[in-house]
Amino acid sequence: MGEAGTTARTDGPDGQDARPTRVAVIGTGFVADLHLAAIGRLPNAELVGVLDVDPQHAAATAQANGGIRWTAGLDELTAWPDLDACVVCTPSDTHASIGAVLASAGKHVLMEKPLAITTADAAALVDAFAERDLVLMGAHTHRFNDYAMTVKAILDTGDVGNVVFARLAMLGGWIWPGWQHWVLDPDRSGGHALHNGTHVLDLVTWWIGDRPITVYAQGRKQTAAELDIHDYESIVVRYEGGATVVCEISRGNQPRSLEYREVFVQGTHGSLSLPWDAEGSLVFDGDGTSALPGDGQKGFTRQLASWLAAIRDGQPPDVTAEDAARAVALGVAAERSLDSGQAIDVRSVLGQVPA
Amino acid sequence: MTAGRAPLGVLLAGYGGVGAQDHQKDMYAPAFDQHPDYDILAISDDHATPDDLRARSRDEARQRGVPYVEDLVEALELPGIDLLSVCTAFERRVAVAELAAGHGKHLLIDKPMALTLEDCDAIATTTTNAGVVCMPAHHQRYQASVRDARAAVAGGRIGLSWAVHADFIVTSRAAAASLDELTAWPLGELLNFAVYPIDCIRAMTGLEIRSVYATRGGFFYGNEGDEDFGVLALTLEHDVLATVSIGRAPVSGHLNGGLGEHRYRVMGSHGLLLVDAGKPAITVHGGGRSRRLPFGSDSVAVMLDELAAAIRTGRPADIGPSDAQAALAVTLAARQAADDDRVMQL
Repeated sequence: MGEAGTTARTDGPDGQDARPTRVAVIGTGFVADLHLAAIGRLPNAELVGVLDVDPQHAAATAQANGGIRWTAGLDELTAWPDLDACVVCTPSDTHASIGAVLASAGKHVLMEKPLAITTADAAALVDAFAERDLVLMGAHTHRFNDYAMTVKAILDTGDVGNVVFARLAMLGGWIWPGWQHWVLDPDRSGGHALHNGTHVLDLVTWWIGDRPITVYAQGRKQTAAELDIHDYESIVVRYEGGATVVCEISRGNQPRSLEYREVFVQGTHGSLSLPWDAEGSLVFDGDGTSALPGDGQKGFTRQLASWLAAIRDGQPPDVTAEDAARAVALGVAAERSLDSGQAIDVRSVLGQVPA
Repeated sequence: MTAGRAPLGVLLAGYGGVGAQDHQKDMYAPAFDQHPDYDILAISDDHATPDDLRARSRDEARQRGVPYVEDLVEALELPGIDLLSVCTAFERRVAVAELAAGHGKHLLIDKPMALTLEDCDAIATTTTNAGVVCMPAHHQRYQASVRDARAAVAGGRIGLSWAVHADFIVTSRAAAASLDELTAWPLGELLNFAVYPIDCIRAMTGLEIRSVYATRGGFFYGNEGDEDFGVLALTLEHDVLATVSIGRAPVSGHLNGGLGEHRYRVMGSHGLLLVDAGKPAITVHGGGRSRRLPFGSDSVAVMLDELAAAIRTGRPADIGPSDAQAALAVTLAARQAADDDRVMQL
């Protein structure tokens, strides 16, 4: 397969090893571009190659990133001698098997969400990386966005007291490809609660810092009745300390261009709200009203920096493997709730995932 | 008032309500005073009213310069009485409604109209049979933004609605001088407040609620009494879904004042509708504080417009006892759902 030069770094001025972490990106679809851009922004990361099962796509991505090495085979990638770590951006149903191979090969991993589509697979990944003292971090990128960090910081001050109720909505229109795409196949994506719902489920759980105990989900197949997944889900999570959260995730809204985020938290001492129009700039044009896009890359860059720091320092990452596994459990509970029409006790789906 | 038409004569019946709330004094009587279609003629109580509440009624009558009539039947027979504004004790509202209907009088009944579905049914039956207007005072559906949204949804502005998310959070402290007074209403804030957002959701969507899942808890009063906050997840006809947060979260300094959060997000097949019942409003920073001052028509006044129109024309009112019954059914099911941690079918 293709070849790429390596750019070995010398020791830094303080004598510490300043060699960048050598990273490969596995899966070169939409989200991979954001990870690749983050790698390009950080001097302590070096992109050494990419993998995609589609050789043409892999080669094109390698070419677009400076003619780096590429491959279509995981065995070949793990044999690269100069590889430290991998960002995995493949379809969700492949995360477990790819993660297991990478753990065996001694590679650190930043795994796109969801960590896996079953709690058993998620727990197995947690164990596999822990046993080898490798960093496994779930790519719950929203945690690294400005708004999410600010909400967390405010809640941590205690100004609004203990959380009683929170509402987090991330709404948008259809951005997915056609019927053949894996995200529409629940056997491959785990369902929307796993595919995208884990974003909001992880975020609110991080904000609240409490143990989720019950999940009740409602859904709609809004874009087409023939969908096998719910393109819109509203998920109620009850926490041990008494808080209740309503999380919404949507790719079924109209207008299709909608990008709507809403945060509201009611605490025992006050409340905070981040309404739809809280952006610094709103534009009114022929497409309606929307926020100017801002630096959407920032969260991905911070996330990568956090993962690299964990690899270098040997400290737990900001999103631990256990956190990511717990998000999987919440997503699984939500999908089960959608199937049964009843609230699901989170303990019933945890399996070996830490509570 | 339409030129040449006499105002409708109002009998204020009782000054009770949820806990220490006094909606008769604080909300309905002032709205009748301000409305040209009404004239408050007398005050009375039902026969079982305790002396301390009668004293309150007597005092109000003296201040208003209208008669206080000890016996409700005698009050109903006063000349010129067209309707009762009912804030009597919940357990006697059926009896009051039967008396009023028997005398051909119309009714405005404080919310919740009753505490049992059977009582709601009895009130509906007696007023329907008598051909009088009976309006539960769900005035929040008459907020300008809610009315506009209702018309927009009914007119297909956002296509077919498929989800509604609502928050109804009162931020003022309960009208109680002490914890004892507060816990005099032991049934929790869901029974107090849930009627409002549930009624608004029903009005805006025109759909009945078929199932409910809920959580509830006491967060703000040391778990005295019952819950002060709850969250409902509803399924309506056509599998339209909804969530509602409801409660009293007494935190000072909210820009919106006492009703801190009252909003709806209605999502439809062709658009999304945001409804903030606290608006239109002007934000004011000055005098050492910041606040948001709503302006425009008052929801209670608009409710009285509707009441007067129904009475004068003989047409059905926009809202009736069945709406109170539907809201109560959801509320009671929500309490059960929260206790059992399961979805309740309605």
